[in-house]
Amino acid sequence: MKAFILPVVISIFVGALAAFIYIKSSTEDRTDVSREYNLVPLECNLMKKKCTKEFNGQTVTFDMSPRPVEIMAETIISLAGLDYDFYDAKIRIFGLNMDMGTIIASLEEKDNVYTTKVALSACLVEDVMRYRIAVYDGNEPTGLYMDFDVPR
Amino acid sequence: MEKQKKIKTAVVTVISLLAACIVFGAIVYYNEQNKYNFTGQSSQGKISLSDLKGQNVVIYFGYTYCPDVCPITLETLSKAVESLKDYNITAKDLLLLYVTLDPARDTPEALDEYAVWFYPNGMGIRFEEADLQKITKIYNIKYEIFPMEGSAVDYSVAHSSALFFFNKEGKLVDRITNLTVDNMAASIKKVMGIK
Repeated sequence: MKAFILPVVISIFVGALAAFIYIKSSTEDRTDVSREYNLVPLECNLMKKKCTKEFNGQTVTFDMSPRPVEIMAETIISLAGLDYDFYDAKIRIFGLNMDMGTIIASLEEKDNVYTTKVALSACLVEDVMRYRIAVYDGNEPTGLYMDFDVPR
Repeated sequence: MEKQKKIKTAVVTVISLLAACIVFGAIVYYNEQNKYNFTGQSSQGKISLSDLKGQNVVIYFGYTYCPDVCPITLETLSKAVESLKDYNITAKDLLLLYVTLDPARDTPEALDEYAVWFYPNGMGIRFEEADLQKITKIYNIKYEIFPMEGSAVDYSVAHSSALFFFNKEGKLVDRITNLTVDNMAASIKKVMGIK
């Protein structure tokens, strides 16, 4: 009987410990990037014009409208020239110089242009908020991204 | 004899593994069911999220000195509800809990007033700072106080914006960070089981 009880008790303990570790790890702060205070000027600011990025031998054009982007105003973001076999095309938008959470939006493809409608909603106090639009396939980053600045 | 020992070892191993899995699953399930629950201060006294079972609830974290994002978000929520009038949905069907990220300045009464100004069925919730830190961690809400020298408001609270939708059973049905009218309307339909 002793040979039976001891392993079961140990297993219960291990199961409980694993559960607590799992819960703790799943409630840790989740963030895409760390703060980046030293903001170097952007080569191309999406706030002012269309910007392109080389990705997997393709030239992807990012655009947004209307300009200038206003906080909480619905803004259409588009990506043209992207040929990617998505399972679940999404973008994530997050701050680089200030972590105020991540906006997740699904991309819709029509005529080889991916678009989505977003509302930039973080309440900010920095003079300039640098955002990154990162393209994801489900929860996996594709490596394609574009940065832009929004003045307060 | 040797065979009997092997069988015994196999049985003990299976039961032990099963016990570990059951304990793991039970604790994780219990946590998932209850982790979003909280007890905060409302203008009517202490209230828990679990007390509101039977109502669809949406939670937003903001503060009453919030100049732009919070009012616009609440107005957008009102617009989203209005957009669903063909489904006979009104604000009465969705209770807004407006949780303050600025407990030093906000009272539950002031939060009520602020929330109702922008959304007809709103209620303010206030936590003490220590509890607020725990709750925001669970909800993955970022906030930070920034001094504003020379300003009448002394400081501002930068924060992330997200809406959390709970159904009548108190289950988190949706969490959205892209706060457009369409997305909010889709979440409201989801929380009410409308396809």
